Amino acid sequence: MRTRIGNPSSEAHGQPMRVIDWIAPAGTDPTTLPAAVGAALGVTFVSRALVHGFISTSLRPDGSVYVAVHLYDVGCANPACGTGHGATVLQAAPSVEAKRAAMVTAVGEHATHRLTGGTGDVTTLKTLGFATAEEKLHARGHPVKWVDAISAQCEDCGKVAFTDGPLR
Amino acid sequence: MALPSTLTSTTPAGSDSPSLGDDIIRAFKLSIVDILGIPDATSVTVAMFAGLAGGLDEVIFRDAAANASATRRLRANAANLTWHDGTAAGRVFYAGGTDVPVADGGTALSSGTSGGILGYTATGTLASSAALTASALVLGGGAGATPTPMGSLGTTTTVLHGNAAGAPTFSAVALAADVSGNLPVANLNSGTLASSTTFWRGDATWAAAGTSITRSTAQVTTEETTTSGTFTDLATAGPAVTLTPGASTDQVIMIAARVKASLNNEEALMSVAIAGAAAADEDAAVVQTLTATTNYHPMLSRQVMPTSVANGSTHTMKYRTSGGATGTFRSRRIIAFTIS
Repeated sequence: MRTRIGNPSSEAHGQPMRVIDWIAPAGTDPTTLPAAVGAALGVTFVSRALVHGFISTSLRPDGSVYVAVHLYDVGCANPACGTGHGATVLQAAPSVEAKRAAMVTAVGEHATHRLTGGTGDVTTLKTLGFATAEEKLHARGHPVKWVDAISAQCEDCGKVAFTDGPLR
Repeated sequence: MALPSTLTSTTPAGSDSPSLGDDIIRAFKLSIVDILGIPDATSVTVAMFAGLAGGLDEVIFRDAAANASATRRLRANAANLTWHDGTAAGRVFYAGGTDVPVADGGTALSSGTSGGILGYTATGTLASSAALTASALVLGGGAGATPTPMGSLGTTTTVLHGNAAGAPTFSAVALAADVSGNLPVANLNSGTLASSTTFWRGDATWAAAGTSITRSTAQVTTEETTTSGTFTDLATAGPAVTLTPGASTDQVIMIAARVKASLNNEEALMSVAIAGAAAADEDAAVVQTLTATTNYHPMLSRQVMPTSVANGSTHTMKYRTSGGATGTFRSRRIIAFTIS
């Protein structure tokens, strides 16, 4: 499990958020995560009135499930902001640092595919079939300026690619 | 002795006696007659010269009917002073006198029109034209007439049109009648984007020819989810396509996926961020689950047709749900192609 600050999913508001991601074991049902993670962190994901963030998952070829919990740091209560949430208030999430481990325990973590925030994460994600940031840039014809543990930037246009996120 | 006076070179008559000196007097008179050309034994009524204390003041000509008779001679009458240059005699012209004829290199004119110019109206006849209008073009008058100015100065948007039958005129260029030859491609928007695969369009741009369709497709098969109420990427972003037809074009974008939403009466939406703009519900395909099941809905698709999409624009599929439902998407595909 690791925590990053940013907007790796290009959420429409464009604001940075806390993103906690890990690899859940095969058989994890993504539809159960909002309730389980919400209960573990004390935040709300399922509501038409107010939410603190959202959860993304990706079913990997080996059956494991990549989970990314996005927690808002900047809220939005404007139903006309044009991003689609309408009357649902997006509220900044409280601090969950002390609850992250319990959350992962509640959901489950893959026995071997472990994200740590270290340089080995790229290898782990590649093993799971994710394209590396560098590969994403090359695929779009961008010359690579630099590469770090999870991202790479285009020499010409400045676009940044993430190993487990979009090119932006 | 006052005039008239007669100088006779043969008087006094005598014997040429040295003591009388008569021969000397006759020789002296003859010298005067010969040197000054005074008619001998003729009563001269008018002096040839007038002198003052300071010297010769005037030469006094008789009123001669004829011109100077031999080379280097002057002769005068009441109208003219004539000079013989060895070939013929001619008048000597002087400032303030009679106008110098054209035949003598003059104009035979004492005045002209201010702003006019000289022109021959006949062989040997000069005349002043009418005043030439400031900045106006000058038209020849043909034989017997002086040049005249054009009545029009034209404007910044007119050009001079020739006229085989008369005076030229100013008017705007009529593209249908006044222009010939081919307009170089470089003169249409500087030829930017002009090529064998583009054509000149009504909006003054070189656009990709309709027969040359630029197309692209991409897909992500992985099953991925989001609970986001706002449009986001999934863990594997896109799919996305970039079209580079070489010019701004109208395009068709088609998106499709297998979709399901996890909660009753909630929605899962997929839309497209057109040319990097925010994805919108108006461009979205929507699944609403009345009663949640674990089954996917039939393949869901949506088509949009943005106009004037900039060359090189990227279109990316985006996703959201409502009410915190888990929207699941798989076999996501995007197709885009140009239609103009």
